[in-house]
Amino acid sequence: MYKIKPLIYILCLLFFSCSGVDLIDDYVPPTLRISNAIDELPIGSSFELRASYFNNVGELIEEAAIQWVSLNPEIISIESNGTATPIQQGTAQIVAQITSEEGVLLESIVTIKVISNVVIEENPNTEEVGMEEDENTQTVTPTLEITNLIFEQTSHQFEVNYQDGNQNSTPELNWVSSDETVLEVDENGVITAVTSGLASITVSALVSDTLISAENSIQVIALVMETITSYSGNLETKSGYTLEGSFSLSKTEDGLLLELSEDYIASSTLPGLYVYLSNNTNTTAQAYGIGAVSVFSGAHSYQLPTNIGLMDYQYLLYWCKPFNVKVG
Amino acid sequence: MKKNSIILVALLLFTSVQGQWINEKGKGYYKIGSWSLLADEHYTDQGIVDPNATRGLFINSIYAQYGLSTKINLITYIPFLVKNYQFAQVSQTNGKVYEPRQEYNGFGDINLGLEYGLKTAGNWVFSTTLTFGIPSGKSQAGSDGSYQTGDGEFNQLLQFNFGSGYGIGKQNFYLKSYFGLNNRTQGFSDEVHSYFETGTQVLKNKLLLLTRVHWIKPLYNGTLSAESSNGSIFANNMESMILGGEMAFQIGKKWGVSATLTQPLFGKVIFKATTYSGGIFFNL
Repeated sequence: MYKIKPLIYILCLLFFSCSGVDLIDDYVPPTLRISNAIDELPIGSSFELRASYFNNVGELIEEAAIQWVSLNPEIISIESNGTATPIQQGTAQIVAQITSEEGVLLESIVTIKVISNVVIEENPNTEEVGMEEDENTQTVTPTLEITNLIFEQTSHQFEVNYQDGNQNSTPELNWVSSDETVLEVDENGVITAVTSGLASITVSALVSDTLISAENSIQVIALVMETITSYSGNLETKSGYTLEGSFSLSKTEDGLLLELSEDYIASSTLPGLYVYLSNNTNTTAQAYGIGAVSVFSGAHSYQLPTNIGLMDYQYLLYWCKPFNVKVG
Repeated sequence: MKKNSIILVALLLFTSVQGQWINEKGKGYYKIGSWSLLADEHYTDQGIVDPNATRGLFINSIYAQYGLSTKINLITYIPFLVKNYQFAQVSQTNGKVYEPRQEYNGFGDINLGLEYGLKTAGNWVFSTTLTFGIPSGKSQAGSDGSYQTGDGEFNQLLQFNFGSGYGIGKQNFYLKSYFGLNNRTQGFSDEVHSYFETGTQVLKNKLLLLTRVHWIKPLYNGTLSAESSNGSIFANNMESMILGGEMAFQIGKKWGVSATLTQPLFGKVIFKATTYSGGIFFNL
């Protein structure tokens, strides 16, 4: 029996020597992402751009030393904290920059069109005002009328209709704004919004010592800046398991809403299938865990908390949790 | 992938590996051994090979086959120490440990069965075996429940066994085979088992060399799925065809050592890895 004891010792040794390490190939190119990009910026406002730096494993680096540069400083100026201030109308490129741990200069660029901060629209409370007569007027034969409709825009060319019954050409017109601080008008009847408010534009003409005029009341309103509120994407399997369909991620009052479409299909034979938002498809270490997958086909949704930003993550990641591998 | 599938495979390998005919009354065959699997790949439900975090299973067990009578043998397999473990998950980029090494040690599922000798006809021997898979292991263990040491279900495997001797030239060989139906519970699909083994003795009958193929085919009649179990780690419908080889060397008059190696030829929802086992056997 003494010959057997060493073998038993070997079995015990083997039992306690099962160890090792899996090296995860989790490198991803570091990225710098402007998270609240806008297309337009009205004059008179400012907007704080934000950018996030994700390192070579997709980890968000808090308080990264991001620098902001305006490639068109005459159009938009940019402060060190990312606050962009428009100077004049035009198009400008704003660049966020950071140097990665590997010494690579990373940039994220957003192109912004600077527009007037206000637009004009018809005053909804305007009463029809047509031709008016001077007190000295004897007849009302000549008439002057503003004819074209106003659409929401920064400036507008008025058109008038003059009639005197004699087929005479339109006399010299005089354009006046009731409030130049709200609405400017030039000699050709082109009005330009300046700031929000209410103003009237009067066009008048002197015809045979008779002053005729027409008036239009204009509302100038401030633009509301719009940012991106949703994204959509497609699921693609990266494993031997079925995973396909499309999804969208959109902002709601209660936080982000992740919606899987009717064409969504996932293998129900895969154990431990979980879904994440992630910046690295090879690990869930920096990912946000949405939860275990319990719906394997058809439309459904996940309501995410308000602290998750639309641009915080790059991928919707399906992951086999027990075996630490991506599914798609 | 699910480890209870692996455990089942392990159990079946152990219970079928002995190559023993029915023991005489009062005689027994006993074996203490270890079995090891280390896998970083698995077969998906489509039979495609996918990677996974390296998982290991190490089982220390006792196998016993004892002759209750000239026709009936008591067979038991007791995995008394099962280690289910996963390698540490470490970033190759920055060396950060994402998940430390995890393991769970416990008692496994016991197999308890009876083999009954039916008939001998010429060189052919016929018998039947009924084996009960007792869920004595832990079906939920470890941080995420996936480090289980048993499948949590009571199953009954009914086998029809037959075997014969044959010769090639002057060398004598044996052949043994069985077909079985494994009735599984807890929503697992039932399974059909097919097993073929052939071997011969060399070195003055001191060394037994054998090879075998074991095919497990599910009947896909179970109800357990990731869908019905709400994202549980348990899967169902595992299929495998495993090729194995074994050497058993008689050292003493009543004891010897054996070494076994198996390799899956194809499968579904099982690990794809070579398994190794070794043990000491006694004929008492």
